[in-house]
Amino acid sequence: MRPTTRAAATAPSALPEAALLDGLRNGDLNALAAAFDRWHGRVRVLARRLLAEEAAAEDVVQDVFTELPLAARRFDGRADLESFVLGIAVKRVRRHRRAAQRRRRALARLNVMELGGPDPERDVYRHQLGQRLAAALDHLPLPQRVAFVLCEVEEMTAAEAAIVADCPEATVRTRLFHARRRLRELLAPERGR
Amino acid sequence: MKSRPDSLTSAVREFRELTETSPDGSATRARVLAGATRGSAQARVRRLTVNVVALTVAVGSAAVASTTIVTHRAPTPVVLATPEHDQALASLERPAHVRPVIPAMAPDEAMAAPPPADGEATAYGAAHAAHFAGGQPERALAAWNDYLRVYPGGRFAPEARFNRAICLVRLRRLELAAQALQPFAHGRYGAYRRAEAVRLLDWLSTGGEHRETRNP
Repeated sequence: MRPTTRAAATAPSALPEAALLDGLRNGDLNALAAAFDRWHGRVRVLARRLLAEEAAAEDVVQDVFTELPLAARRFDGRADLESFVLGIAVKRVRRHRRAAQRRRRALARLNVMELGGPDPERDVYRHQLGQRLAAALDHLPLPQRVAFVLCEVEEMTAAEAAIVADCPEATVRTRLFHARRRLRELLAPERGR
Repeated sequence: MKSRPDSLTSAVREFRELTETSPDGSATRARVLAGATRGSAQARVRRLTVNVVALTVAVGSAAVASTTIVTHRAPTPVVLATPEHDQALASLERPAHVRPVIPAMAPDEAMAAPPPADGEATAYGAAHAAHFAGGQPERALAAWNDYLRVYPGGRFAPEARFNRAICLVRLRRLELAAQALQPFAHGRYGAYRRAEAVRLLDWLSTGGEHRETRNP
């Protein structure tokens, strides 16, 4: 990274994507700050949905933007830069998944959930429904979970999800099919309650 | 899927809402930027270190090459064939089949005295002249001793030591000559004069035995 002033590095930036990419490739700290400001929210939300744990999601965000300047040199322009960044996040999630699952199970044993934490003002039913899906997602293989989160939760098309997941579009559709079927099975016992 | 009113659809909607709030990430942002700055500094240090090492290696290699050229330049060894050498060798009562190879005794272009740019070169030049032009081994030996006493690790020290050994041979001080040749034969100076030293030592030892057997 080229040295830069703190003021410049912390200032919000609206660089065009091409300039942003050039800056990242050249190790410009301003470009990295701009990329973080632009995409950290999306990366964090996606990581939370794939890991269901705030701390692990934050680790993914840090990993993604730490790696981004180097990864940007591999960017071939076939997709937009945001999909490329989210693709890095999906790859990084794999590293944190097991640790996140262990922590979440421990919290579940203590009856404390990570996603938002206990909140007496919250609609109990809605909260439980979301929590049940979060728990059910843990039973999916990661590729199926990625496909489900990208297509159903993030509302991406299969083609967009294929770019982020770095796999063929047909594979995304197949994984999504199996993920839906499995999740319905897992959520079915709750219907009768 | 989005409009399907089953529990999965509802669960997805609730899950989306539960997970879409996001902190500002300022702490992570600061860590990322600090890490990038630190990484940049470390990269600069690594590049600087690599450059320093490369420069050191280059300078060292150049110095070694220069030293090799300066200190190891020597005339091409020739078979002793001059009347003076024949006389010297005959006086050692060497066996007829031994034909040692020793350095030429006449200066050639490679052995020309170095330019007298400093005291070491001047001392070497004086010894060089005495050795190759004077025809007086005692004087040459004294000159080489003078040079080596002042410049034991000088640029021309290996060559001076070898020439000193030749002087000792010529003066028939064979034990001292053998001692002087041993380092060369054992490779202390690499390949420089090693083959000649080995042959001379072999010749000296054979000549000594020969004299003992012929003159018990």
